[in-house]
Amino acid sequence: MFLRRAAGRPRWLADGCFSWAENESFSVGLFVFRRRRLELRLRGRGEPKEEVGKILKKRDVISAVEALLVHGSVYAPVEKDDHFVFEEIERASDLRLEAAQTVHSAKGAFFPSKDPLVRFDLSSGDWEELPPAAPRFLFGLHPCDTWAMKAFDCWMRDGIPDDRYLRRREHGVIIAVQCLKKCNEDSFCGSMGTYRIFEADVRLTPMNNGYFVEFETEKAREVEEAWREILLEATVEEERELEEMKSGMEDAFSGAEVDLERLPDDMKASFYAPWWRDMGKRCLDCGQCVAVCPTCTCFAMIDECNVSLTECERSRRWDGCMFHSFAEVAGPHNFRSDRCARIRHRMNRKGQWLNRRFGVPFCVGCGRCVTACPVGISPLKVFKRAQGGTADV
Amino acid sequence: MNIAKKPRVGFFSFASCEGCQLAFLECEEELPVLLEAVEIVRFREASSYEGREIGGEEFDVVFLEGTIAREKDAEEVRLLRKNAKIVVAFGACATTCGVNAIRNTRPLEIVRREVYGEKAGWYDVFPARPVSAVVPVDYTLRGCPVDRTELVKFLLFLLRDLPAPIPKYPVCFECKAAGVVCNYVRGRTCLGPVTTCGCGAICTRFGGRCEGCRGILPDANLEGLRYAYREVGRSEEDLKHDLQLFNSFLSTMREKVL
Repeated sequence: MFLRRAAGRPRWLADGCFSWAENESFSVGLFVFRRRRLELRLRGRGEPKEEVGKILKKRDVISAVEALLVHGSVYAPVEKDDHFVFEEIERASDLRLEAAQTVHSAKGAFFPSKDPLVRFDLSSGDWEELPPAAPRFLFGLHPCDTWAMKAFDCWMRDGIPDDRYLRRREHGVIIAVQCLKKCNEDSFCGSMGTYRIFEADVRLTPMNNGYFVEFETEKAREVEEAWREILLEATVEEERELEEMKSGMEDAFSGAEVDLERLPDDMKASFYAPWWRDMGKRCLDCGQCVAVCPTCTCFAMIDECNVSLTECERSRRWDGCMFHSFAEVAGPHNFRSDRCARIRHRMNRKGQWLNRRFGVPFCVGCGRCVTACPVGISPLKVFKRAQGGTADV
Repeated sequence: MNIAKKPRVGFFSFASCEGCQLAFLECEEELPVLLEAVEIVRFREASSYEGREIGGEEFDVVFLEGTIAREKDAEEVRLLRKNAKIVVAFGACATTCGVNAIRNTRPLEIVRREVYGEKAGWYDVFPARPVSAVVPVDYTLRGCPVDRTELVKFLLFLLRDLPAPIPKYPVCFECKAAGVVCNYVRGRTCLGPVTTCGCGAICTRFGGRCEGCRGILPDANLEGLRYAYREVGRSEEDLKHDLQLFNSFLSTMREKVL
């Protein structure tokens, strides 16, 4: 049944969105079966665990973070200027787990905006690698962020693997929180099929008075250990509540506006469409979309010397395809000197080329770029337009 | 350093607050090394000597700060250009004409009378203009005042005879990379999307908005910015007003901009 349902859909949709018949009786004998069903629905794949579910009460969240801080640094949403951003937290009480959406994505944890790589001595030629510092626990990632992490991994593992990123990635423990509704009107995870957690070491599912906790991987052991005293065992009522939450969730994300299977082809077909021009006229090339995007990976290398020209530091910093200088080469020639070509390039990377290459969505529908864009450019509008919509982009 | 003879450097100031020269003097950690590498021939701001007329001295590099506001200044700049191998326009006044260009938006006679009163006739001035409008400039260092780290970096490239890197993207990107919440997201306006970067988004990082002191990018989309202003409920007049502070020269001299 699982395979039949999954056939003919994009690979990223094949996981766990099936529902079982809703007619089990309340007999005790079926309890185990029901738990299996619950487990399957929660994780969508893999062997169901028979152990009792764990609950993290809302009042215990702060002590849970304190327990994590003992083991390592915690990167989580905090409040800043009436909005939320991901930052390394100093005090457990700074955490805002209820944050609808952060302005910036969590990519900065493993891919900092400026990352010093090596330091070298210009006279002797000696050099040393600078250790890739990274947060230990990423707390409060949303499902879209876990999908973005997957996309990031695909890109960084491709070709020559990016050792620095992967070392950080392997070191980090991801604690993701399932969303039960869309974060805001800008997000379109329902359309991109990214509203369920893809992969996480620890999964939290919000309930009325806490979070249902599931430990998924080896790396989660450390969290499990740290939270041993804090978590409570889930009661039957709580498990029932979780089930209700889950089924309600599917409704909250229904009504996909994008046909993901056809999207790469549609984007290709509309490559020369005149509406790109209208969007290019509005785009400011400010690059905010690139900076906040959880799947944007481009970077530039810079060398900086000290004033006496004896020591030099090579670092990489974020770069973005929205800038005029990005595709500029000797000559000077520019492969994308036109603003319209640049925004089209970015959208095609999100909707066509990388999706085809890696089989995961490279736009995860978080809507951060939509919120950030001063002129309201949205990938969702672009995808809809490419699929025959008539609304302005 | 591959320069056998120490390069001769001069700092000259025209209509400005001279804050950019102070920014150079504030590079306290780097100054000893820099002073060993170059010979500073003229630097009135850093000297007890009151200065003298600009003569026929030869320079390797001259830093010109300030706006050219009268014919006498323009002549001096032309002379300096002739005597110097490299001319660097230094700071907002010298690069974009900065706040001094606001003067150009009103008739010169009225402005002079307002400032000098009865003695208006004593001063001979013409519409304010950046250094680049008088002589060709080799490098521009932007900002009000110039960014200290950028300045030191620039000097290092200059000393090694390498082309200095010129930032070509907007402040927005530096701002986002620093983890700042966008002014537009907060319902405020900001000139970050069209302003040349290099300042490390210092204003927005400390809660302000970008005023555009580093000048509008050559390929900036002002039409798009107008749209962004409308999106947060601000008018075209507001945009004009914001651009006036540091980028008046664009609007007074280059009609195509607004």
